[in-house]
Amino acid sequence: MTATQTTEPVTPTPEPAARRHSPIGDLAERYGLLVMFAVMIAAFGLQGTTGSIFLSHANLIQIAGSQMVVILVAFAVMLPLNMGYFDLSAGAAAGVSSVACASAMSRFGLPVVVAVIASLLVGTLIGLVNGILIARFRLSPVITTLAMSTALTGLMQWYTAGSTISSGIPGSLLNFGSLNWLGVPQLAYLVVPVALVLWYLQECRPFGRNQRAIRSSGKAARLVGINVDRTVLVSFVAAGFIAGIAGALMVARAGGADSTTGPSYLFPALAAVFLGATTIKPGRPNTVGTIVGVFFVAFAVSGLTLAGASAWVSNLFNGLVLFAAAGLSTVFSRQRGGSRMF
Amino acid sequence: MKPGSPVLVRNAAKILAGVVASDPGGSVTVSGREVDASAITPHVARAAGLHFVHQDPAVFADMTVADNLFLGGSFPVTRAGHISRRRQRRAAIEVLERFAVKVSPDELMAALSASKRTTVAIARALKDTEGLHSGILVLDEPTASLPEHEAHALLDTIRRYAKAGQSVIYITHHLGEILDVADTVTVLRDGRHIVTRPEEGLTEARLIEYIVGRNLAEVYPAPADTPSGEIALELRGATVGPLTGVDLTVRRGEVVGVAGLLGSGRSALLHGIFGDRPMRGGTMLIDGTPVHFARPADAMRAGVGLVPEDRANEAAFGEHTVRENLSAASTAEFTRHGRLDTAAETAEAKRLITELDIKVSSPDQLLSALSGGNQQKVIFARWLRRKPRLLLLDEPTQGVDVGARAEIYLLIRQAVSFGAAVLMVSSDFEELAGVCDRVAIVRGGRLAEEVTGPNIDPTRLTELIFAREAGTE
Repeated sequence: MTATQTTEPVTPTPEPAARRHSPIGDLAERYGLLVMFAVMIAAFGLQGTTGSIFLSHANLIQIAGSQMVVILVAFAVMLPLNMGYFDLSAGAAAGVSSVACASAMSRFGLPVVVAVIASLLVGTLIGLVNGILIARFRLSPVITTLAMSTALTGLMQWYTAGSTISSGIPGSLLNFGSLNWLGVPQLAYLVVPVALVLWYLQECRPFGRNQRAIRSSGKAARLVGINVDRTVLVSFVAAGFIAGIAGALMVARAGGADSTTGPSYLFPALAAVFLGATTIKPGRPNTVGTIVGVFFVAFAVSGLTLAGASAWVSNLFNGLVLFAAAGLSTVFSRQRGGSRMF
Repeated sequence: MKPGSPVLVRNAAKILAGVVASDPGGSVTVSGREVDASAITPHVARAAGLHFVHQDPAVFADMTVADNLFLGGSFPVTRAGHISRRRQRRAAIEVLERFAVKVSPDELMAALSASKRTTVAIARALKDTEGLHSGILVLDEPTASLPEHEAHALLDTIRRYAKAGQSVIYITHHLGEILDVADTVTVLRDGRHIVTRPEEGLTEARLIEYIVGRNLAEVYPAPADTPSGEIALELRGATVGPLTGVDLTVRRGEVVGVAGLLGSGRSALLHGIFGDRPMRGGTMLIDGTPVHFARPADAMRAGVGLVPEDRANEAAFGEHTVRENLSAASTAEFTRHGRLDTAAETAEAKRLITELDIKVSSPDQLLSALSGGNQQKVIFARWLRRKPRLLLLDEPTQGVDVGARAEIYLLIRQAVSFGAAVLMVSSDFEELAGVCDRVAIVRGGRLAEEVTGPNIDPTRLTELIFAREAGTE
């Protein structure tokens, strides 16, 4: 201190009480959803007669098996959402892929492998178109993918003429969709590697960091040398590819394809991603959180249905979860210096 | 630790405005009425006679002056309930006259100069007061985004209001403005009240002492020896943004300033060199080799770095950690076997934090929690660690307190002494005079002239950027 002839009190730098959350609060945010999940399972499981059904191996496997497609659609939503870009066409893209897959076998008599490749190609192509429109022509992601979703749904309705394409689908694919291996649905053996790749991309590779930088500020991301356009394009193409996998799994699971199933997966998927953004890595979409989110919603709906609620409960619950998740993830994101999450 | 008063002053203003809740225990007295400080909401503040104009006043550029005056308040409506254009216009003219704002109510906000826009915002804030100048007007960095002559115009207006009896609380980084307009000066530092005293007899040096808490012998470092390094950057007839035919060289070990009015193409020039804006003509040579940068990544590979003007939108990743911000321009370097090596990243972050004396609790603290000065040091560290051959700086000390400013000048000098070439845009002419070896003047879409060494002084630079302003080609 070289201050001279200072008459007023000039006290040196005290630490201002910055508002940082405690480690306990951090833990609560990170694992709060998991705790709620456990409490919910216990609550439904302890319900007299329905409780034992809820916790039965058959029910658990049933739920797990039925959620594999939702997880993939949620992954497809999550990839662009990591950059703050909505993809509202993920459900419809999965639907179109499933129709392509089913009709390749049913109407054209092609082998399973070719049908699956067709499904992947269709999904990837949709992602590519989304990506080009958004990255190159700078259209709004929400509007672009909403338009894409609506157009694709119309296309499916025209092609399927409102019926289900289900004849002539080989048993090998159907078995893969319905049978278990080591007590776990076979579909899971395909979904788990996808999840691992995504986790690795997001948490370990610069790709994930770049995506988050774009979400934080696209302009700043460009000025630190990130190729923003390419990252956006790749994210949408990858999302389309994953939707394509989801399409093939839908055929395996349901034994056919129609025009309504795919689009109906969008909202459960969105709800799961938002819910996932409140846990594990609070404040941003993340792979593990998304899986937790999917199962949280699925088990809640299953429990409520077993307890006597009817089919409407699923939509109502998804809507409420989306509200709560959007609110919570925004709070967490704000605490971390961000603004509204999306 | 957050050194530097500005953040805290701003928080104080936010508490008054009711934007941020105060911790309980304080009180605020306005015109003899006492209010519990923790109970202030925007509504209470307004009722108490506090009128705020924030740093970027909320004006709507694509609406008329008249609309801007009545938004958020009450549009005069007819009995049927629709807005009466005629009465609104009349009321607007009355308000504009009362506050002596010389603009037409029908003009679009976008067509006004920045200082006029702020003046309209002030008129809007004050228009509902009963007396002509009752209540207290709180101005939060009103000149932050104004070029100097606009700032002067605004200060004149504020002085006129004050003379007419308006109480004004004026929050600013610019010490010159304080000495210019204030009657009483309060300095806050690190969340504490340091001093409140009359402006009379206060010097800039003394004010800096209050703010920094120590005697700043010199804010500007001693200039290095005359640069004689080889040419790092050469522009021949470069055309970018509003500028055409720019010839410019920057040598290694040299700091070249760029002075010009806002919108003269100063920033466009830097962004053009960095590959962020297309160069429409001319050639650029880096270390003697002709280059073309299609995107910033290309420029970075050639050893160019850019610290942009708009830190919040163009440089800072607020919700990312300090560590992630430090490595943002070097992620490839921290990628080992395909994955980000966060251990190496953390080690490097710690080294930079110590070296640049960045005030953080840990490398994993979020950037948004830091003061402006420390955020800027993080952005500097992000580029300095890449050992740039050419460093482009756009208003490097904007929104930065005096203490950190001195440190940033030292960093610039350091970079230069390690052989970097620096091209720096600033609207602070004292800064240009204090830091630069040479200053290029942009005016009328061209690089008009260069000023060297002892001729760089603030008054001369001001004269030059305005010279022949009206009659340019």
